[in-house]
Amino acid sequence: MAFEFLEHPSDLLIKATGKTVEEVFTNMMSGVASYIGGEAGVPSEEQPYSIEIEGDSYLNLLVRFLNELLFLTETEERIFTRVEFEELTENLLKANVYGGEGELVEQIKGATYRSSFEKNPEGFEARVVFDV
Amino acid sequence: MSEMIQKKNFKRIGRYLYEIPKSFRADMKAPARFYSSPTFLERLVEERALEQLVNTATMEGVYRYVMAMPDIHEGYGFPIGGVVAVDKNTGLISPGGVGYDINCGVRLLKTGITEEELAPKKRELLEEIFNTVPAGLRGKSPVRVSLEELDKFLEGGAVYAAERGFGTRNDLERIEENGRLKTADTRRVSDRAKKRGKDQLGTLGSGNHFLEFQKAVKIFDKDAAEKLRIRLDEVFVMIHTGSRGLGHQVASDYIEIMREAMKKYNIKVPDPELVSAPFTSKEGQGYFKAMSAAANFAWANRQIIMEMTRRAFNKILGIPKEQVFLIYDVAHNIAKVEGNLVVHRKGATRAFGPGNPNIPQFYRDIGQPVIIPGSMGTSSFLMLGTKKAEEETFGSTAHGAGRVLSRHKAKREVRGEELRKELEREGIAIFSRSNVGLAEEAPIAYKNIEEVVNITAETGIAKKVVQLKPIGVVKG
Repeated sequence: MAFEFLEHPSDLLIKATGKTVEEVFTNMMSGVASYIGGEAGVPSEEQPYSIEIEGDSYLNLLVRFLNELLFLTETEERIFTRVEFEELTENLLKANVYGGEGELVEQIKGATYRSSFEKNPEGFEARVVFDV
Repeated sequence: MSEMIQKKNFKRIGRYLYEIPKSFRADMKAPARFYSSPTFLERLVEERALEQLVNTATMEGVYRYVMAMPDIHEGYGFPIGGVVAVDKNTGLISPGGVGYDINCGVRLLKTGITEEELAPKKRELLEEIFNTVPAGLRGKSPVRVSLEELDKFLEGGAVYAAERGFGTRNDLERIEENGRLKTADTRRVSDRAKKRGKDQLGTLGSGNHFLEFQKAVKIFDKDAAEKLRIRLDEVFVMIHTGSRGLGHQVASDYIEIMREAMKKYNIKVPDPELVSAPFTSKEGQGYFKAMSAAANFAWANRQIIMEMTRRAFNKILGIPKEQVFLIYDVAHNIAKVEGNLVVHRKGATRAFGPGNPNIPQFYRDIGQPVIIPGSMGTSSFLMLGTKKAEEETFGSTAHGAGRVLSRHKAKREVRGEELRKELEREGIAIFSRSNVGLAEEAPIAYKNIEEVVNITAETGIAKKVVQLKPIGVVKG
């Protein structure tokens, strides 16, 4: 599975894996969508949101990317299910994200730095703890 | 990660008080103390919470000892239940010492009517509140505010809310800090935080937040209850919520800012979650002023919800709004300057004793009211602060039950629909759209509140006055 909900004493822990960094970021986004949305609507192709974040590591970028998505979910009422990366290095993320209107069944308030991003033999693995 | 803390690493120094000495780890600058009981200890040693407490003892400027209340459990950076005081000139301030929900807190109202008098209209009244006070993920604020006016709420807290017609000036003295931290600076709050909060004033939110009808089922301190004009069977309203998305964004923003600041000030911490900055630094002051604004937002939020509750009581029962009387409002996630210290209380309640000049004249001979909410469906308690708390815990006590079962596990073990029926059978009317939300907050997911309260009472860091049992719940 590309993402998985793991046990955590008080918050939400999602594990995402992928062959590439992009895949891990995408799968983590899907994990979030799957948790908060019962049934996400069809993403609006006309209205992507563009995101540009600078950072000092993949972990840093991942946490900030997820917080950006969650901010947009709360203020724009969209659940994000598709992303196109223009650039993703350890210091810069540029992407267009596509979200659909959907009913929220759960809330995630934000991603925290109680998280990890590591290389493994198959590619990469990220674990992110979310405040819910 | 260092190894788990075991029983051999701490000593018992009081009936329910334990200490991990400074010698336990070379980087500790003070001992770590915590309140617990033999039952709670069994579970506590298996968690990361004690290690988190020890980590806070490595902070620069930490004063005397770091502390945890008996409801301690694992949090972000600091454990929940943690109380850490630092010197305001040399110490560090940390967003992790306050938590994401800045000024999450509790407000208790007495209604002057008995359960019997309420009974015929109970459901109708709960429904009216459910329809006017948004809970959960949907529902927009009952207050329309522009971004300019939002700043007034951030500066003025409950004081501005009262000016705006939500409650009256008479309520204000019975709110911690009179419902407003004067240290707020709206320029330190990001546009993103304001955007998140703009439509959330007067809303409960989700998670463990609730509005409950409760009845007084047991009086422990007759004199104090008399002074507070509390009778057995009287109906109370408890409001438990905080600063919503706005406070969360302030926390997230300053965690990012402090990650950078730590490089600049060369601050080393044993856990990356423990971000912090010197209290006197630009970043430290920025956080403190933004946090103060978020705290004001939370006080305004609870003030508005109280007013909506009073209106509902007036509309459905015809009783005068002023009869729904505010007993007190406490913050349990906050950092404050108290004397020469910056006191972080994360999942801990201020508990000032009799004679303290910071509590209203009316309560000065009995001590500050302390409100300890139970988890959904279980008892809550009204307690009073003590001199002993001022001497031993920087004037702090417990804040609630403390989670023991993850939301994930709770959802697996409890079916929301069945729980709803069970609570209804016990006479608790449930107004919540989400069965999932109910399951996550099931009573079995929390520590036994009565044991938490008994430990605090027996150690004298708060005094029991009244036990309250829920008879109606509004939640997300």
